[in-house]
Amino acid sequence: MLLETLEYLGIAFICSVILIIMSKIILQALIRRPADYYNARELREEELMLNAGGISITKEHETNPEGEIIEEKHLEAQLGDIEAAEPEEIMLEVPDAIAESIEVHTEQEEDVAETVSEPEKYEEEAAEPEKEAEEVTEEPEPEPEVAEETEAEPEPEPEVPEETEPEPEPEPAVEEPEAEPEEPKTPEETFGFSIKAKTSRTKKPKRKEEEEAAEELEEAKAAMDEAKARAAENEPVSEWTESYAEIRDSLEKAFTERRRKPSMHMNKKELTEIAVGMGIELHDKVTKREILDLINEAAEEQAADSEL
Amino acid sequence: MAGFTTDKLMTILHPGIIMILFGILVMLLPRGFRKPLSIIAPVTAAWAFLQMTPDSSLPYKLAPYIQMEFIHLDSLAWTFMLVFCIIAILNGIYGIGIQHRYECGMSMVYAGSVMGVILAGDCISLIVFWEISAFASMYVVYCKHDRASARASFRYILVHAFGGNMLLAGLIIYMFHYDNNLGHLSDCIGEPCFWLIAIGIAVNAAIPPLHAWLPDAYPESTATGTVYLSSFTTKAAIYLMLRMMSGMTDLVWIGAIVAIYGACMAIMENGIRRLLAYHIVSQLGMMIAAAGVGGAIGIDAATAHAFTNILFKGVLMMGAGAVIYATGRSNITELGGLAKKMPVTAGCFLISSLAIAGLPSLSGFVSKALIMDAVHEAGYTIPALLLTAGGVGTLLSITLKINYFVFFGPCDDETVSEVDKKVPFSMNLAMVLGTAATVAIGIFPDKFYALMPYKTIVEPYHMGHVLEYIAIFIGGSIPFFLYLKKMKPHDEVTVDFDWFYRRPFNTLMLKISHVIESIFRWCGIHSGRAAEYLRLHFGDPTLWTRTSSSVRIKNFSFENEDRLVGDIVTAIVTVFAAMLIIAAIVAR
Repeated sequence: MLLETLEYLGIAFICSVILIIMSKIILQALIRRPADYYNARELREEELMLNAGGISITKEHETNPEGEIIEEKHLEAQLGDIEAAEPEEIMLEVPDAIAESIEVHTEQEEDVAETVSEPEKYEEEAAEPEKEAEEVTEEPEPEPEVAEETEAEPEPEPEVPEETEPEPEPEPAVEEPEAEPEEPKTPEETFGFSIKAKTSRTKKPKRKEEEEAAEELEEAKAAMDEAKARAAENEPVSEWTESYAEIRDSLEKAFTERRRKPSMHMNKKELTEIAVGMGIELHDKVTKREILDLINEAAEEQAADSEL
Repeated sequence: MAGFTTDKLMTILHPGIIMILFGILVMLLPRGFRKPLSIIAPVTAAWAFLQMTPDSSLPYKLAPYIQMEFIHLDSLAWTFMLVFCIIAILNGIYGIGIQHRYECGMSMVYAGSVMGVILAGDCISLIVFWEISAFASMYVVYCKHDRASARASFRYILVHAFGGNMLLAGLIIYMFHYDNNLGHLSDCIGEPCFWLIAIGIAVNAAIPPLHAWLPDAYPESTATGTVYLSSFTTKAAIYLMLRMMSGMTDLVWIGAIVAIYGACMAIMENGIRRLLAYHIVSQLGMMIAAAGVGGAIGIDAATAHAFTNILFKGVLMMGAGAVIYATGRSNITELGGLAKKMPVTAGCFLISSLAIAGLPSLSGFVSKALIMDAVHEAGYTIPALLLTAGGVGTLLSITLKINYFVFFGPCDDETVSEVDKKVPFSMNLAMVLGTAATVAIGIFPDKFYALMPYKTIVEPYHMGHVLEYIAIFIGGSIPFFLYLKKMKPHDEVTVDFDWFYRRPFNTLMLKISHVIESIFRWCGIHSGRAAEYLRLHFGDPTLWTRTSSSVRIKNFSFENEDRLVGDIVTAIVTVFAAMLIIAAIVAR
């Protein structure tokens, strides 16, 4: 019986070693991939499909046990990087793509000339004026590509924007919704807050800012395309306003409800991000508890400063 | 209706149909009804099942020569029905506080349809309930309502549609050549119907390479959904395998390899539920091997392990769900030292994980003893060794890895040892009840063996056998602690056979759809143009000769004047049309 027991002990030991070597060394090298191996590609495909369908904002709802929507994951995901921002900033900031979409659609309701705009055809035919307009306004905004869709109507010669107030789009071929507001509202009036094109929590090199501005322009163009597609379906402006007001509300809700205070519930990576965001320098072997203490100290100091 | 008494009626109440009806009710009635009905439904189904006798029968004549039999309760079906009713009640308790109305309803429909599969006495009722269970379980996978679960459920239903269609085709051929009643496939080995039915069963039994849907879909569902999924689909396939394919010796080897494969994959995994899902594959391998041995002891061994596996795997999935519910994290790399914060969950998980590894005095020891006896008796030495290695893999991946890194080991800086939400009492209660059942089976093996179809009795608690398992525990554990750094999981994904349909097959389908779209677009554009061309040219026949409009026919008219071809064609068509009209009038 002893021999038999020793035999099983040996078998189990050898089996265990073989399994560990097989799975943790051999198979690990062969079939392990980065965590987003499938996800990255699937997201890219989905993005392409959504773009092809003229949809850029998707909402993924998370429901409570009773089926009520408690948060919108898409928005939460976009807002994750500014979670550590100050509360007063939070109330004013929304993700760039959405912010620009809101601006774009608000501009459709009101006078387009309030912000600078260049139609795509305009860009092709009058590159010079476009450059001027960009220089003057500093916040280039794309315009709906209206000219291409109205080939039947002769396109009026685009006017060169003059100094700070470039001329509005001559005749938007995309039909404006019927319920056009009589008096144009500013974004502050419409939504109750102003929208920054880019959050400026940390100062970045100038070149990087330029690159980001270019990315923003691309995003704005995409948002404009979407606006054009939606407007082509004669969707009333009021619905746009309502839908974005909903987004704004959900953003605020997400920020107020979901913003987590630094605690031991978070892992080290999350705490480190918050600490770095607060300008705290960390050494390599710092523990979670130490990071949390440093964050709390920094927060107390900030509170004391603000009181003074 | 003479002689049709209430007692007779009681024996033909179909538990599966009762569950399905309750599931539909839960979805239709207001929210307030969900909680009571989630307990009432499985209890009623269990009561209906206990009223049934071997003579119970619920036939339905579909056509003059085809009769469906919804209730066929033999001893094998009775054992599976018993454990399904128990786990349905436990799942009802577990999910009472956290389930969504539609999820609850669909879970009941799913459980009911699997009960329908178990009780089916003929091919048609089997395939009907089989397909209902596939679609209901697809919703259970999807019920988390996020992007990952939506994609996973889509892949899930694609694989199960493939498996279901294979089974359907096989059963149709079987019915044509043999009989509508479900019988053993020994008569048709090697025939198309055998292979088609085997593929259909293999998909649901998660036999590699057809297993990838399981670790892909199960972890994406909700906490309750995963418990339901882990309890029913694969075990129903094992039941069907026992009923139709038991004693086919190739299955012993297949099962042994599956056991090793599942254990290896489980050791690599980082997600708790994905690890447990791979572990289901490993345990299914043991059941398949026992089914391959066949005979009374083989069928009893497979049934016993399915019975115990449903209970302890259910508790393990419940524990994983509780951890995810409380912390919001599912990766082992993100968790640690949770035993202090979740003592009930940690305790139940530990006991169940020891049971699954076969620790004496727990249920896994009792059922594994039967399997190993069956394999040894049949003379399969190497498969027995592989199954032992699979058991060691179980010890490494669940008993040691999860318990050490998630519950009882040290908590490092990267992990979360605090809980955001308190685990509801109902979840704890279900886990405790499941664990109690696991312990009870381990303590009273004779009573447990008496529930098996052939009531095979072995003596698991003899000294040699106990020492054997203790030696396996010690021998298997030493390398874990020696290679502790290596055993620590990493935040990566394991590529499995699902790679084929998530990468190259996906690309292929995109290319094909692109080509088809191009063809149809070309046809659409050109057919439109062709239609327009014909419309114009039939409307104005002179257009046929537009290109030859300058051609003039000399001396055509009486006046010796030249005429355009188009004018002449118009004149001819007009005259011809007039003749036709006159002819039609005259003919009337």
